Amino acid sequence: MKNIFFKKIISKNKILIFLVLFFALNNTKVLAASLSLELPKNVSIGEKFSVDLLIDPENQSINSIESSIIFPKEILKYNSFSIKQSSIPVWVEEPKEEFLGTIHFAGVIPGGLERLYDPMKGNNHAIPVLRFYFIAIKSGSANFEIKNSLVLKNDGKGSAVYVSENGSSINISGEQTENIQQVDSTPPEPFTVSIIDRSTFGRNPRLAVFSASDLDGAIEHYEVSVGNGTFSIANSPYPLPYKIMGYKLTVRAFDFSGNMREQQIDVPGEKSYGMGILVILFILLIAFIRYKFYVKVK
Amino acid sequence: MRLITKQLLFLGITILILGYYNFANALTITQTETVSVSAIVGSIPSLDGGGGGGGSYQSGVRFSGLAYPGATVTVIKRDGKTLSVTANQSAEFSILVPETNWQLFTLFAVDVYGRKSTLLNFPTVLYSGYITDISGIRFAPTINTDKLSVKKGDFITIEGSSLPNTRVYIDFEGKDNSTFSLISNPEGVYSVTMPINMTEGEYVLRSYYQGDSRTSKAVRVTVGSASILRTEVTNNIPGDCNFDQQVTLVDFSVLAYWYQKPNPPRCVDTNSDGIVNLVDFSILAFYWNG
Repeated sequence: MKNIFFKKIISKNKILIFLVLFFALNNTKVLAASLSLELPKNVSIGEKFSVDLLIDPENQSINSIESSIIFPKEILKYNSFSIKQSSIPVWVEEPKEEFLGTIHFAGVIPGGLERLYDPMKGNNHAIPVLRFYFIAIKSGSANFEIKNSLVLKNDGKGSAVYVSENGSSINISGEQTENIQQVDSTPPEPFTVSIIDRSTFGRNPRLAVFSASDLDGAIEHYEVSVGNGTFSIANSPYPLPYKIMGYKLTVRAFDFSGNMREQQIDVPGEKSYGMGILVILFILLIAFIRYKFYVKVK
Repeated sequence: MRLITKQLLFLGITILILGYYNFANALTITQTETVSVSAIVGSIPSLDGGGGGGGSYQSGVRFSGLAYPGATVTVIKRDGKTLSVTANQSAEFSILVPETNWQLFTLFAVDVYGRKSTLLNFPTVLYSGYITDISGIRFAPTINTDKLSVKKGDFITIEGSSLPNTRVYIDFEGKDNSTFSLISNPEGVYSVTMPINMTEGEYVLRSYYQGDSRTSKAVRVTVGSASILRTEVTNNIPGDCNFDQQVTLVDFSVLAYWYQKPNPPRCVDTNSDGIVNLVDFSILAFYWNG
């Protein structure tokens, strides 16, 4: 009986149901966040230019952003990025050209972000996230796209926010008349390397944590050497090898111009961990001797 | 004809309801700040050298508003330098930060009992010769409980700091959801001891002021078969893998080590879904209090 009643209502009100759904879906836009790009309209071949990624959280508090920037690799070359004007203090994945034409990043903002505070432009709520630098290598129109974005609310649950991704384009024409690019010869700022001890009952190894900054942009990569060994590319946190004796750990930070800053620390040996192993070996040895003695007496 | 009239009436009511819903949503994200700007002639004096050591700044930002009586309000600059001020007995504070560059400022307040507020971030644009005046800031109340786990029928004490003589709302979010309110005393302290008769399970408690989207930090409480006091050893903060009662860069680094690795330890998998991804970092960032 009830089903017939509802069927009648549905058949008589198809248009209304459509309109209700339309308005209901439209309503979700109130709680959207938008990612957009700010870049010059025209550049010349050989010119280095910046592209700013902005986010407008629409007054809701968000604390995590993950996204990819797609650009035509045959027209543009990715140069570097800068976090000088970034609102992301903690990077889960620093911006990196994962493969040619795609830059990926992920970061978090403890406490969250709601809007930009610009006293001269009251309606400007878009917050700078990152600045990328590109070099134009061929003439044509280049489209920048924002893809696979994930923006999470600052609600303690990691709820996702609807994101609108607004790409942009740039025209490249003619050769650059004179090369006015400044050469960066300043090394990254001095930085510290900290050690996080392994947890007593957990599965975390000892970790070396480091983060350098560069006045002219950002860090391109790090290299690590353990105990005067060869340097290899590494990321922070860096899992330290288990060693009973202490050793030197050297971390090198390179900026996008190849300038380097080195930091070295003494890492103490994991004596307590080593002692534990020695105690176990000692107990096993005693047990073995007693067993042998017991067999002999018998 | 009658059907069309009915449909139009239904449509009108629907639009009104959805319009109200949109409006209500807009209200729930009410901002408590009002931003204004004022010009300063000449240099801005450095408060204590914490702003960079000099007194030659041509721009700055002033943060003012309400915290808790006697609370210490701290501003963290992007370079890690900090400036602090003590709120008066009416919970009012005002702090001038000399600075030249656009940046993200982070504010937090610590009440006289050492309880910390949630972090507030202000990405701020600065103009040479001007002070950017961000006024009307209001920190959400602080909160804590005496128990980490409450036996059903047993009592729990919930307390915190707020504005003096102000109504504070406390939300229980879990298997049963409930909200109650109480008024703080003239010293800005609220406290209630109440029996717990909710369905067994995990609950998240938050306190806030009426009409404010900001809440206190979230406190986890389990309603179960035994009561356990909240001590330093037993505190239950998601992502606090070294159990130091702080969620900081150390905990972040441990999470980062397990990022997208299989079979992570329970402590780093803050939402227990078997993988450490951006959602776990979002939860960690929410509880961040270092």
